[in-house]
Amino acid sequence: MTQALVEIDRVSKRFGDYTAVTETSFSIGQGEFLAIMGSSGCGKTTMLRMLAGLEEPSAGEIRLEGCSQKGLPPWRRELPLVWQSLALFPFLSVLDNVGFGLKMRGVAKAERDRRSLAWLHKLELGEFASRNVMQLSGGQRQRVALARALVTEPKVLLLDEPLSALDAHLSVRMQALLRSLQRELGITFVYVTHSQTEAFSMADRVVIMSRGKVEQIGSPQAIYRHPANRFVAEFIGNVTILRGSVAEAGDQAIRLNTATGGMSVSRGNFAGAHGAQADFYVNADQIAIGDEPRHENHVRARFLSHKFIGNMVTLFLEVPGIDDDLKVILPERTYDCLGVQPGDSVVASWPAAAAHFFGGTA
Amino acid sequence: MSNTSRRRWPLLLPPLLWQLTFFLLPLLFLFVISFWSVVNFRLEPDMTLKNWDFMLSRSSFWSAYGHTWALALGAAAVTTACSFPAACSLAFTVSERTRKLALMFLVVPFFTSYLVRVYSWQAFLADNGIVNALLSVVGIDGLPMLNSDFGSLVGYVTLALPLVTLVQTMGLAQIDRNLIEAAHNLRAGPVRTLFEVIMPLAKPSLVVGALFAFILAFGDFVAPTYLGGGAPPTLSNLIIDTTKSGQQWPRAAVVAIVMILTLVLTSLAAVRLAYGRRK
Repeated sequence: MTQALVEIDRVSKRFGDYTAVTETSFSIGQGEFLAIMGSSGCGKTTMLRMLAGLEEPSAGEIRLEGCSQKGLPPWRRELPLVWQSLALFPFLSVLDNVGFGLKMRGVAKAERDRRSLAWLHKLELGEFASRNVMQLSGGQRQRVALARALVTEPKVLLLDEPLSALDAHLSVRMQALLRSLQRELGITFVYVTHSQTEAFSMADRVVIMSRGKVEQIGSPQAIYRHPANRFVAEFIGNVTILRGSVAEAGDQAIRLNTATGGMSVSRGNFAGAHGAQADFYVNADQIAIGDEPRHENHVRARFLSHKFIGNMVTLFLEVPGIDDDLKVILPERTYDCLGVQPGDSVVASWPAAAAHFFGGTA
Repeated sequence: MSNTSRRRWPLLLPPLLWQLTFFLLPLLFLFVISFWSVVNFRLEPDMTLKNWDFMLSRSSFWSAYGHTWALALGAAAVTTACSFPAACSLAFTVSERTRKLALMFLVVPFFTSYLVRVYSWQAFLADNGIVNALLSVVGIDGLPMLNSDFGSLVGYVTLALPLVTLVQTMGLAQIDRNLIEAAHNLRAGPVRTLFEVIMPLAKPSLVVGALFAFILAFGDFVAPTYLGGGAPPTLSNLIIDTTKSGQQWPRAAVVAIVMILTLVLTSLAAVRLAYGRRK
């Protein structure tokens, strides 16, 4: 990883009896696009607000380029934030909104107008400079908020769910814009979101938080393929979690007895003894469906329902002896060729390499 | 008109009738008698402009008009300035519970009569009153406060302060906190945030609050009479004097109409200033 620009060192935040963030540590590299993801109340926004200085950590410390930010009020920090509500000033024109940060830094009017206008042109908003922000569309306002934060050329940009108010196609376009801006400027982005799509499509690394704690930090691929624990697996939702007792340990795979028969699971660095109970997960997109088993692990299941996500189809299968539905993700064309109907009996099978123990591949 | 609004319009009837009977008709009557004559201390229906001519051509009328304007403007400025710090702390620094409690206490002064409150100020402001007694301890003697414009202003502020604070607090409390935090985030410290963000956002409540103070002071008769001493007179003093001396109701009506027109125009200007279209 590149050199750490921001270090979050055992930071906790309590509001009265409520602990929003508990002893959290991680660092953010120079030029990195980091997404902090979690459901509401997981502490991700509190973390961002502490970075901006809008909340002071109850314990621990945040360092920017090695300098402690402790006790530094927000107006002395160089960490502009793009707000979920955008927080544009309704009494100022588009141009003056963008130039606000420069004005506060004492940049003369001509110079700040020139720099603001340059950013507006860059984000294709040049023609709206003299308009009132309230006259712009959601997507345009979004870009004004972005320009206002970037015009001061910060080292780190904080973004708090900035796309949550946009409709889907606009959100996709903004994601592309954000990603290309971040690459072009080489600025560190810290992006808080509850959307897996946003986090996984843009970020270099993703921090998954739950109840004030970090559950996993890693690249989108690593998190997708190898969730660190049950929480992450359920949150990402692309695996089915099964449970069994260790029957036989091999070099590559471990044989377990489960409620639906014997299963082979990649060994990884699993160290459970014979007879030990263990959870493991099966990647949904590595399961094959058919009339016959195609891999060594197989179960007979009843096809319950399906849903389309883009050009992929998620199938939900009922397997006797398993509480959760077995999730299978197939390309749409494969699904069409299968010709299965809800209620049909199918055989789901997968290789040992598609099944892993939690934390087994760190 | 839609079906629902047709069914609901009888609900509007009581306030409509009230306004018609006790506001619009008397106003019309006021306008009409401004053209009547007074013969032998009795009103006689007439159609003459001599009341208008008499009042508007006298310099004493115009100096009273100017004096009233100055006092009302002063009351608006002083009340706004006195209320703003309190409204800011009520809106931003205390809990919602405390704010509600404080706003309730702001209403408490209205439980006592305004006249009583103004009279009690006399005890404080008189030449040998409480304030002068306290000042004499530190060696300042005999500040004339009663029967001066200062006295009138004290009365106006007494009248308007609770209301103006209420209006300002409600306006400030509605400000989106994100905007204040956004200003801090863009390196505006507390003072710059106050001037660059909070004041522009609070402009409607500041202007409306000041307008309330202006209206209350402009028409008030109690403070300029009992604390201001009635000299130089305000327009309200002038109305009293005119009616007392020779039953000149038509001339008083002229003064009243000028006052009403002034307040209507001022209100329109203030509302335009407060909510005026931004480009």
